Parts: sequence; structure tokens; C-alpha cells
Amino acid sequence: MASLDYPESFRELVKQLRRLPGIGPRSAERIALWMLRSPDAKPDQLAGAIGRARETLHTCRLCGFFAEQEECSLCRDTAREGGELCVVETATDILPLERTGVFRGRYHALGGKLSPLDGVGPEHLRIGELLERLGQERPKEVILALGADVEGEATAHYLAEMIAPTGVPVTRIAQGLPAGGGVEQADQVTLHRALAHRRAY
Amino acid sequence: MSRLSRLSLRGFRCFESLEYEPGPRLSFLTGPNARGKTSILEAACMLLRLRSPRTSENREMVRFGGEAFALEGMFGETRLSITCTPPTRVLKLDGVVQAKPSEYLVQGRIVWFGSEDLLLVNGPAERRRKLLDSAGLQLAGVGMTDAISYARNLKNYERALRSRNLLLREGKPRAQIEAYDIPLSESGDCLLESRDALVRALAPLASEACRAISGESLEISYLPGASRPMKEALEVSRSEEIRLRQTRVGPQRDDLGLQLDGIPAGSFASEGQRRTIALALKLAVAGLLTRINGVAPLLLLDDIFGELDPGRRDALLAGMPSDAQAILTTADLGGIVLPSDSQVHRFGESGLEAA
Repeated sequence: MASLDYPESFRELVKQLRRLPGIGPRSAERIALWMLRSPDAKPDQLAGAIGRARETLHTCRLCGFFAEQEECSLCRDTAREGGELCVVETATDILPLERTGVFRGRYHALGGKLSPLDGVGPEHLRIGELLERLGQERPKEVILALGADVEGEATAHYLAEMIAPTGVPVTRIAQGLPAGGGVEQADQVTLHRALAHRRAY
Repeated sequence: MSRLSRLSLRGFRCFESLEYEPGPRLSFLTGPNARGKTSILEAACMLLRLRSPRTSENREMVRFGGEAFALEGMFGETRLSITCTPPTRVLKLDGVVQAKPSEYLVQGRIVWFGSEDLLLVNGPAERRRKLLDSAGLQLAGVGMTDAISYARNLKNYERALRSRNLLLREGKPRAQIEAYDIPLSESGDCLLESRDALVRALAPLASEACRAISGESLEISYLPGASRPMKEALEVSRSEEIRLRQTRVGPQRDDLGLQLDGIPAGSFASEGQRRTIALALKLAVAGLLTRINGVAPLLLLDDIFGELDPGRRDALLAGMPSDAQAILTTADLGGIVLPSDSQVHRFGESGLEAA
């Protein structure tokens, strides 16, 4: 006798859920059961939302952020015109920076960082688009907001080199002690950088 | 003071199951070859540092025909355990699973000596760099360098170097290669500085250890692979690196100069002298770890007597750091006078037994 299992349609649902990041077989089964049995579940709305998002979501032609039109709301905001341009690694880096409320310029997501060991060279990043934008938009300043790891560092230096001929001033976000961190907990490199990039009061 | 008071091996190397209780000072493991003396030392190293000096493949430590090994031991008041079913492993401290190795690794430090360490004297420079790293990566201290910074610098440097060398080899545009100059020289300068400080601290300790074993005079010196700041050294080496398609300066070319009685040791030292020098270097690392960390590392000394003459053997045992715990293997203890606080186990007919 064949061993008892869920019907085919249910198994297919579990299989699809399992493909989601961070979802194991047990979680997939639990979600599937909840989705079909719980009065609070709204599976049709979920399916609809996924479909609509897929249909309407695009990558902004200019900055690479998520958009529902050709350009995202940040790039269409004329108040941000002619200000600073902040360069980030990926589109998901934009929101944390935006939430600080400090920065009122525009963004440019590179779509990654230089990493020869992973086969990522300048031709795989949106560097050409960045240089084109600099020519057209003439921002006051380019701010490099890249990670402080080896690849982030190398990407920042490469970009600074590439941007130099355009004459647009390039800065880099500060590096050093984390907010609320003491000097004695900091490691050697962090302190080196904090000292090297100190500034006048 | 933290001592390894119990060690149990399951499915490890040639052992289906073995319980071993080292003493608080010098513990000798003796017996014929191929009985697993070195594997017990390896197990102690694995338990405390999560790595073996003999292999980088955990699979190789699994008993033939098995699928997993488990090690457990009491170190000080803490029960350490590692269950390894390659490629996965589970670490526990007092029965609590540790997701990250960082907390686990601060428990114990070790200094290992094996016959392969004779190559410290006349082998490739990489072995001498590894010796400095083994000290740098186990330092808890402040003031000179600490293990976390050292490990991060080493990792960042290696990543930047591999990236840069790949770009050089593939003949990529200069702008892409030079983008790595800053991250490379930043971690490179830190490494050069740390290693310089390490060697300066190790030199008097090594000299003292060597004099105690053989009466000879050992001088060690740091031969850096780049002048500081490394950024300038990179610029000077530019035409050479383009021609050879490889980064030509930096800590990857560091070496340790060894002089015995004023003569370079690499080219002339005898087997006994090489063993003496290698042991002196290891004892110096142990001395430095003791001074900076405030706790002596566990010494794991495999086949230490080798070709040493009886005079050197006695002097070596007499010169063992008085506050350290050591586990030592040797095929035979014939004619050797052991310090009174020593413990001896021997592999006999029925396995490991106290002698």
C-alpha cells in the first residue's frame, strides 16, 4: 500500500513555499495549512498582490531603485534636483539612508560592488550610467556610501578615479567608531581610520 | 588556572573510544609507533582550537568506515564538546550549543610542536609567517595587537591581495588594479606593524629558551616584505609588478631571520640544532601568550626528543615553562630523568594505561 500523503495540489503549494528564502519543509507545511484553513488567511489577496507587484514594479531608469513608472518617486521629485548624488551598492541600501532624513538629494545604486574573485568587474555595474548622469544632472557633489569591506573600499577608489575627470567633487561617508561605542572596544583598523579621518571641531 | 583535565575521543582517527586524563603539569604518552599518540594531541588541539595541525579536512579525522567524530573535555571549569559530521559540526560549552566559534575559541590557547616544525628553520618562509600568525591569532592582549584585529587584517589582506593579483594576471586596466592599493596597504601596514611588534617581543624569549636547551645563542629578526607605508612601496614596485603580473611587496613576502651563534641557521644547522631552534621558537610563542594573556597555553609537543642528545633532552625538560601544562609524546622514555610532577601513560596490550 502506498504511504499516505497530502493530495497533489497541497504538495505543490508546499513545494513552492519551500523555494522561498529561509523557509524549510516544516515551515512550508505550516504556512500552507494556515493559508488554506485559517479564517484570517486571505490567499486570493496574497496571490493578487504578488501578481500586481510583479506586473507594475520596475527598476528606476536613473537610480536603480524600485519604481512603478519609468522613474521612481525620488528621481521625479524636482525639489531634489541639482543637489547631491549619493552612490550606494544596492537598491536596498537607499531606504536606510533615506530614513535618516538627513540626505535630500538623489541616489544611484550600482547593482553590486567590484569583486574580481567573484567575477564582477566594472562592466557589470551601473558605472557608465552614473557617469552619464553626472554629465546631464551636474550634481553639486557625489557622496560614496559604500561598505567598508575590501570590495567596498576598492569600488570607492575606482569610482573616485573615474569621476575625477568630470570635475564633480567626490566625498565618502565617514568611517570610525559606531555611535555609542567606546574607544577601547574598537579594533585596530577602525581606530586607524577614525584617527586618519579625524576632523576639526 | 585552566587545565585540560579530561579528554574523550569517539570515532576519532584510529580510536573507537578513548578516555584520557592528562595531569596538571607534564603528561607523557609513550608506546610503539602507529598506536595513536599523535592523534590524542591532535584531538586536544581540535577540541580547543577547532583545527588540526595535521589536516584542514575534518573528514580525515573521522575513523575509517565512520561518518562522524565527537570530542569532549573539561578545560578548567568548562566542558567543551565538538561533534563533527563533515561538513557540519556542533560546538557546545557546558552543553549549550554555540552558533559562532568566537565565544568558544576564547576558552583555550595552545602551542603545538611536531617534527614538521623542523622546517621552521630551513623550510619555506611561509612556515615562519604561520608561526607569527599562530601567536597573533591567539593574543587576547591590549597594547600590542589583539587576535580579533589580527585575524581581520589577515583576512582582508589576503582577500585584497588575491583580487589584485587576479587583476594583474589578467592584465586589467591600471585603474582597476590601483583601486586595491588602499585596502591592500591599509591591512598590510597593520600586519607589518603587528608582526614587527610580535618579533620584537619574541626575540628575547626565543633567545632565552635556546640558551636553556643547548647553551647556543639564537637571534631572531623580522625581515618585512615591504617598507612602511606600504602604499609607497607599491608605487616603487610598479614596473616590476606589471612585468611579473603579481604584487611584489607586502606581508606575503615577510620572513623571520634566524641566526645561531651568529651564523644563518637555515643553511647549516644540524638536525639536533634545528629541533632546538624550532622548540625555542615555540616556547617563545608560549611565553609571549602567557605574558599577554595572563594564562599559559596548553603545550602539545609531538615527538619532541627526536635527535636531541641526552644533555639537550634533560635541559629541555628542565626548561619547560613552570606554569604550563604540557602533553608530550615520545616512543621511548629510556634514560630520561622526568621531573617529579610528571605523569606517564603507555600504550600497552590493552590500550592506554598509566605507567
